[in-house]
Amino acid sequence: MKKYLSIFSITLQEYFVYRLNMFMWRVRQIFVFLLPYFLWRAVLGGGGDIYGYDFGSIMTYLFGTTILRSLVMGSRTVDLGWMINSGLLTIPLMRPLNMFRFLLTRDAADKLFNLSFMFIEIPLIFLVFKPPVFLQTDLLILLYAVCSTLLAILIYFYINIIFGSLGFWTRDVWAPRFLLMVILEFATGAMFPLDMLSNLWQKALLWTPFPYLLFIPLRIYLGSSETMVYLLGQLVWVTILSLLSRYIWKRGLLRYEAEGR
Amino acid sequence: MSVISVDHLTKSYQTQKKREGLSGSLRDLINPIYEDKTAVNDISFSIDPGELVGFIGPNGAGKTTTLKTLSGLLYPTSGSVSVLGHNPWDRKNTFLRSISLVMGQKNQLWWDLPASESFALNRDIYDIPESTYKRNLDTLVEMLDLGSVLGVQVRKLSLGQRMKAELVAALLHDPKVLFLDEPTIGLDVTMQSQVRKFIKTYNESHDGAIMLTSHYMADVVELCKRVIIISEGSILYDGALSGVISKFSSHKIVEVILEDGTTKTYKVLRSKIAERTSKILHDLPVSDINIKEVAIEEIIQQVFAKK
Repeated sequence: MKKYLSIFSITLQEYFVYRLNMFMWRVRQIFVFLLPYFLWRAVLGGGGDIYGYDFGSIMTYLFGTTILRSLVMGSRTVDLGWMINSGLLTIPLMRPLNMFRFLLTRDAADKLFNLSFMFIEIPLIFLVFKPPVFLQTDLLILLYAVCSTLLAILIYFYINIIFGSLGFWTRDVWAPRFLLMVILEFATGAMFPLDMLSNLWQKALLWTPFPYLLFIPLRIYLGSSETMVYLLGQLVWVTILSLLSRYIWKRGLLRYEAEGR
Repeated sequence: MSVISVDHLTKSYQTQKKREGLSGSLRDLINPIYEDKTAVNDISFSIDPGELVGFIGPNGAGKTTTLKTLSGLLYPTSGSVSVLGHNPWDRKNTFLRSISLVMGQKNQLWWDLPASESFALNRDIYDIPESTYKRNLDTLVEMLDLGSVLGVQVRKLSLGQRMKAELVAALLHDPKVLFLDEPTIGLDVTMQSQVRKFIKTYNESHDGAIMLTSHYMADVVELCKRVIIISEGSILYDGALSGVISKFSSHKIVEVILEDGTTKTYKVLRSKIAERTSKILHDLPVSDINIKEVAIEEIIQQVFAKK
């Protein structure tokens, strides 16, 4: 356990070396919130609603996805394909470490780093823009939301392992990653609430792991009547992706060439 | 009992062959051609505890591939490998705790942080008891004269300092087998000599086995009693360093100093030495004569050039 704590600590130390990077990344996170904020204010700021969402509920949704994004989609494992291709994977592979735990520890450090800053940015946005948001007070629902977020983190982790492992077979890891990023923007509900889509699309998307990253945890936070079904869906995806990523990882290692190192 | 045992090891890669020009690239998109490249071809050897073996060969000979396979990074195409009784590929923690791989200019330390942070991380990763860690760190830092730069960011260290720090990081956990892949590459002569001296002293004071690859023959000549020469994936020679001369050198050097002080040098076939020297002594006003072997560096270069 101590070894993973040390990895956690050294990953954080690495972030603090580059102060400007750290600062600019935070500014970027504020823009990630502000762009859709102004868009929705233009549409709904004067009153009315779209697909049952008024300005207040859409703001709650946006606020929620901004926080969830940092937690769920803040990750170091996105570098895995590059680590494989550059031979950098050799370093952790040569150490007495469990690779998945090593990668998950690095992810955890990234998320803590993101979260700590969320405590500064969120109140700041709140003070300046005073968006109307809904704060959940039911402790049980909050507990479900936390569980759902943790499952979402695992789903995203395994998706990254699977996409990163492409590096064992091909050098073209960036195009698939960008494709994944575009899919994620749309299919997780980061751009707009997925229940704005037609029933057919919603149902189809729920057969993929993507809505379980942001949309579903947020639905659970808002007190959905289908919380248990959603949590079960997340568990199923965690299981499928975990088994799949382990299988792909094992097959990929057989092809690892430790190039450049 | 051997610590490293390699039996008929073969390792092949599949590489894509690129056709020439833009039209070739377009055809590659639709119908790529793959070919198998055999990096290591049916090699066998074993290494005993305490041995320091030089693994030498030209670029692309298969040295690094062998080392990576022995470290468990590469999966062998065929044959078997055993290191300290383990199959390296299983990458069991007990195995990984007993070996270390240092790779020349390739940095394994945390680039943006001081070397001391990487050392402390290795202490935790390898579960090194605090007292052992302190003792090993002090000894290694002193041997390598690294004390003044421990707190400096790794990226700011010179190549030589970085190599020394790599060695410290690799040895903190007392590995039983150490793989050194080009540890002196790119270093200036003084630094090369310091690193060499360190490896020699370390080998004398520890019973672990060391396998060393190097392009610098000085490393091999100074450090290794035994060498394995590999070329195009096959072993050409495995034995005492001194044996390389008799096996590969068909000539000796005859150096004569004439009465007027000038020196003449002849490269003479071993079988003709007696005949040639008596002829020289008969024909020339010789004041001194010296018969010596061709320098081992030269012999090995010739061996590689022939391949």
